[in-house]
Amino acid sequence: MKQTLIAISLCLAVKLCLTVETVVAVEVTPPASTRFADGHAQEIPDFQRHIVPLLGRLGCNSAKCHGSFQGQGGFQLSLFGFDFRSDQAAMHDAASSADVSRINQRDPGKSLLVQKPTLQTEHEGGQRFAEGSWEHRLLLRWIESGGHGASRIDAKTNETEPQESGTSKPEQAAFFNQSIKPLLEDHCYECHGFNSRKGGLSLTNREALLSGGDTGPALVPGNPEASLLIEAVRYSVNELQMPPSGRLSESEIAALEKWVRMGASWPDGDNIAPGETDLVLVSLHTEPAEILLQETDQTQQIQVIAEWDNGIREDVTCLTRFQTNNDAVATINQDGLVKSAGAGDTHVIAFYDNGVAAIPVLRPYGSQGDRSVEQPSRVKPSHPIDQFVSAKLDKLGLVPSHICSDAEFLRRVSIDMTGTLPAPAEVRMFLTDNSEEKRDRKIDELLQRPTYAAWWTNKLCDFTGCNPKSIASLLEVAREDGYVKASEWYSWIYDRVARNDPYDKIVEGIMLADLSGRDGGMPYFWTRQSLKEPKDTAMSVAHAFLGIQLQCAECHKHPFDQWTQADFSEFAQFFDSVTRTKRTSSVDGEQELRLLRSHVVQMKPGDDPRRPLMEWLRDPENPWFARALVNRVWAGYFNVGIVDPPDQFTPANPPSNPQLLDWLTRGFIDSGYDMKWLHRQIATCETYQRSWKPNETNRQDQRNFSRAIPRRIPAEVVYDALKQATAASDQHDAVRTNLQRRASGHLSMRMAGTHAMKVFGKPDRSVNCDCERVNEPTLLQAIFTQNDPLLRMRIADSGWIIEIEDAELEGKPVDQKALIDEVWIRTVGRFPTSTQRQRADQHLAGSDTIAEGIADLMWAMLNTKEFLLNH
Amino acid sequence: MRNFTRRQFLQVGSLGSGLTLADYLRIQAAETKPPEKRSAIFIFMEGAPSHQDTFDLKPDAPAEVRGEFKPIATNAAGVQICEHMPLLASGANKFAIIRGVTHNVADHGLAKKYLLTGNKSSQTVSYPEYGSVVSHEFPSVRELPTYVSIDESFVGPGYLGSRYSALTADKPKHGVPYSVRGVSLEDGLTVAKYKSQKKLLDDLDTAFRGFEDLDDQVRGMDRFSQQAFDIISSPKARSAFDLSREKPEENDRFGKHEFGQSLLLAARLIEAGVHFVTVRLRPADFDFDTHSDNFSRLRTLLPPFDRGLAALLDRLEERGLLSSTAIMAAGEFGRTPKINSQGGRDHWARAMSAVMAGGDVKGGRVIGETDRTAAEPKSIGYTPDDLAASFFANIGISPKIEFRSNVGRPITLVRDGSPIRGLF
Repeated sequence: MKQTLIAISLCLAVKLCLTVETVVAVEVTPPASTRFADGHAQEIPDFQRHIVPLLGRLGCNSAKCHGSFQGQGGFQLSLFGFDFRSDQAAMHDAASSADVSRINQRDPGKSLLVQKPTLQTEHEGGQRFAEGSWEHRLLLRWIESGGHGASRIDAKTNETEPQESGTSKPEQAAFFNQSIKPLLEDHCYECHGFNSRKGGLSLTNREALLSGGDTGPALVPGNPEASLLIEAVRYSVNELQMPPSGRLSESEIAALEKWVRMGASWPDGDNIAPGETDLVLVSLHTEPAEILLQETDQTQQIQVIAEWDNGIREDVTCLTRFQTNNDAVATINQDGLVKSAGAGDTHVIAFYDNGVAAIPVLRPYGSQGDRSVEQPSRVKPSHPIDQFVSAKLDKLGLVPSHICSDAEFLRRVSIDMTGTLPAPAEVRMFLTDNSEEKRDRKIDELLQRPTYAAWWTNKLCDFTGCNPKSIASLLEVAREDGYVKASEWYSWIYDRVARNDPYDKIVEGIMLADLSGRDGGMPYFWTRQSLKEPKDTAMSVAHAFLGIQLQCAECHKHPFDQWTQADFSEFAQFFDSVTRTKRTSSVDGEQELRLLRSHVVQMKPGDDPRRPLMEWLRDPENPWFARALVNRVWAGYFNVGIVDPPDQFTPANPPSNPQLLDWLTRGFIDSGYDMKWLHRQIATCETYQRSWKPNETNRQDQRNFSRAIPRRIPAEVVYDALKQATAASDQHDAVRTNLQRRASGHLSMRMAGTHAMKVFGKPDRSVNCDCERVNEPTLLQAIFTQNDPLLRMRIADSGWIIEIEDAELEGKPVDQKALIDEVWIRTVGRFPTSTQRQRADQHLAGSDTIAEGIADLMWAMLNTKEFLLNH
Repeated sequence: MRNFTRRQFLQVGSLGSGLTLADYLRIQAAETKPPEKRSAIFIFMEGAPSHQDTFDLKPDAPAEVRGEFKPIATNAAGVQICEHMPLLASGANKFAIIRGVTHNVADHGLAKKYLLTGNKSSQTVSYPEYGSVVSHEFPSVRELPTYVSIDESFVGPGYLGSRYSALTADKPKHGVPYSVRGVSLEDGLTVAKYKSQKKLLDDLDTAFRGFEDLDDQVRGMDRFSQQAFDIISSPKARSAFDLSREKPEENDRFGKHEFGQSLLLAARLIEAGVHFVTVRLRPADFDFDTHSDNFSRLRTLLPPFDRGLAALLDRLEERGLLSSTAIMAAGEFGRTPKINSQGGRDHWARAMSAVMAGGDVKGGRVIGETDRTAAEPKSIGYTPDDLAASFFANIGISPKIEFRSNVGRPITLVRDGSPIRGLF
């Protein structure tokens, strides 16, 4: 077998390493497209390594074709592969028409498996490859060799035949694959292989050896002395010496003897459990590790090398599926050729077996030396976050926007940190404060407010699925006890966020809660009626605390992640024993359970399975737990996560700035899971305090934090802000601080599902997805802010406007200018511009009363984008 | 016409719903020109009406099953319905009855989600209701909402996103001035005053001038703001919602019950150009969930239903709109064949009926059949998925179009159903 020496740079499939480049020399098997290019290959293709990936790449097992749960044309494959047993069985099954078969070993070329995709027979899926192509030849070889399944799992041996005791079937299979198969391929197949059957003998599958050639059976399982094959390789008789080119080495001959003595097993994987295989992909290496493009249509070929646990390294570029995460930046064709489409950064993703590798692709927006756009001046000593962000911006030729105004900063940080608009007096004071540290001081001050705890409790309730409907019953209308329990859930988290309990401690109180609620924990997470089966709990835990979406793997191999159905069911098994009523393990005897390929847990009967799970969560090496919260908090300040969507941590959705996420995560863990530390780090950096106004370079940038992204204020904030903007002067503080009456406070639970909350996209918390909170603008929102009775009533009943009315009626002097200022301060947290003041004056001049004019101004300002957006 | 292969013929022959080759040829032919997009009304008979007392009577069944009502003949040969729906009986040529619709979800909440979306509810995907799909597929109408739900919608836009939510209109009550939340100008607010407010807003909303298309969140805000203003201020929308413009005779024809008034409003909206109207028949004091006193309650419930639906079909036909409006009426399941000790019927999902009219539906037909006690369909029956697929097909939307879920998973609009043979 030809081997090539290729120097490749290593890059782990799961952990993306931009900086670590280890150049090593390893033996890499050249691609199947080369090996099978002509008809001379003697190699037997492997089901897991070659056949299933090829079918995946050709699209055969996609949802539209044979991966559909109904199959297609009576032929069904597992969606995205990985159910090796059923896939192999399906290929061997009789086709719907009796006169042809999918696999025809006697005449491989007549197999439907190659007839269809080459269009020698009609195929709804059209031509997938040409006759005589490497794909065609590879499949033919596999059929000729017996069409066996995933290797190394189970040796098919006839039970009546003698076997050497003491070796397990997997061991025999491993022995065959490592010692026998290559030997046959290298020394025998030239004459007794696929293209040539000298003396009528083929050695390409067990049956062929048993039936033998012109001189009789080539082997007798269990009896080397009676096997012609052994006689031939020993060169013991003159008329039968094989191979003719020279005697095999003693060790090779010994291996063949041993193999025959063991029963001449020829593994075919026909009996393996779904999704199980002994052959494990260690990693996918890609070359190059990062792609930097400069101009449109510039191309770059990607090479993918699979490394298996048995030491095999193979160039699998031709067996890999590719996708781009943003085709406006770069496209990638099915052969792995990347082509630049526009400026920006994204990843191209390679999928092979259960490996997923992401390769960053960057094309700068402007040239790095270009100084035509002025860099904003630094206002503070460099913050680590700013260093990580600017390193990426420099690479992309992005110039960050200028620092935002004090008014913008105050409004933005008040909304993001406390879900509340700043009070008018606070705005005035902040704008006139000239001290340099006023922003940092404000951040510290906000973190002490109850509204900080309320807003972030509301968010934690989103993530953990605190839903009054599902807590108590599955009825369409929440029952009173549902509301009561949801409020208890809210209050429980609120108390802990307010006193800044460590995040892992809070999660522990949920994870390990006594289900009767006697230990001061929060049991309702587990007792929700919506968690009907262990799999529901598994998905909920994965979403709430790990930021990962497992649901795909419930029914099939996850298309964008490493998860197989086996991974999912093993994780779900964990929750088998945690039900609404009990929380002890029901496993029989001691059992080992794998936690999403990242940790193994020993369980004994009677153990609370949540305990090891919690230990795993808070383990500093847990790949997701701290990272998921850090990323969600970040997304709360920037509108997009470093991983975005924030609950989709998958290798195919890598962070836009891995170093930044790593640093924040490490710091968060080192701080003892101190959430205020995290909020403070994020809010104090310059990156957070940039204007939304783009410059020439960063208008299109939405994922590198070169500017603020204007986003609609969340549903609860809209509701509370309308109240606050219209409140009587002496009611202002009460409206802001009385959490019992705020949509982001205790009312949060009761308000879910009301008209205003639905219109503005407050999540129901009924599915495991951060996407349940919707911020996109809609027609109904515009109808609401323009004419909903609730909004009209807020203005008509505004305590503040009534004050003006009363003053007018009593003939007291009314300071028109101050009132106009106040409208702007109450709604957008700044003073009006002179043009706006003129327009307001003009409107007041045409109004019957000042109060009425102010009411109109209030209505108008509540409908501006500046009010409705956080910017 | 498209060429198709022997394999495709074979496939069609094996489709579960039993499409014949002729059906298939017709569908193929239809596919070559884009299907006509129609308006639609979904009348949701919430609470689950008993099929054996409305559209699937079993006069020959034992007394404890057949109940108190007698079937009457209709103007369609061989088609009989309940004696308490005489108006529908005399206009049965306008609608088709589908009997033997069957499923296995006998819980109100979950079954409602099923019937309102055509997909069994799932923990991982929230499916959109029919009207939201229509909102997504049809261009919006000037000065009108695309989709109105009379009485608040139950399911919502699901994975399509809140942009495709219904505008909710309360159920009109006869003799009570009608207003629509957010749309009607109230408390003496005049259009002129509202217009001056909007002018003020346009002049003051300057912070993002020049950056209107900056990001997703900003994009579209001005358009929606203008669209909201058009709907609220335009005579077109106000007139569509203004039931006082109807003559007293027309009010009488639909009936003064809120059933009839809701259907009259639905007709007005469709006539004005709204694409989809959901009407939830859910009177505050009673509904079709007749666990007790089934017959006395139906004696009260059926006449307004009969009057309202018959009037709706008549009116749309008179105005030439029946052929361009797809109509479906159904509850969430059927009711038990056996009458219980309270004289009621309990939940029964294994058999129910539905009514379809308008568009391509061939009226005066009964499709499907149940056994002698109306307990099960004869042969395989139809599913709510099939109803949804038929409804969408009649609206002009392929039930097999594909959307993407939040995790990028492709979701077929109606995964498991196909249009019911013989309806069209």
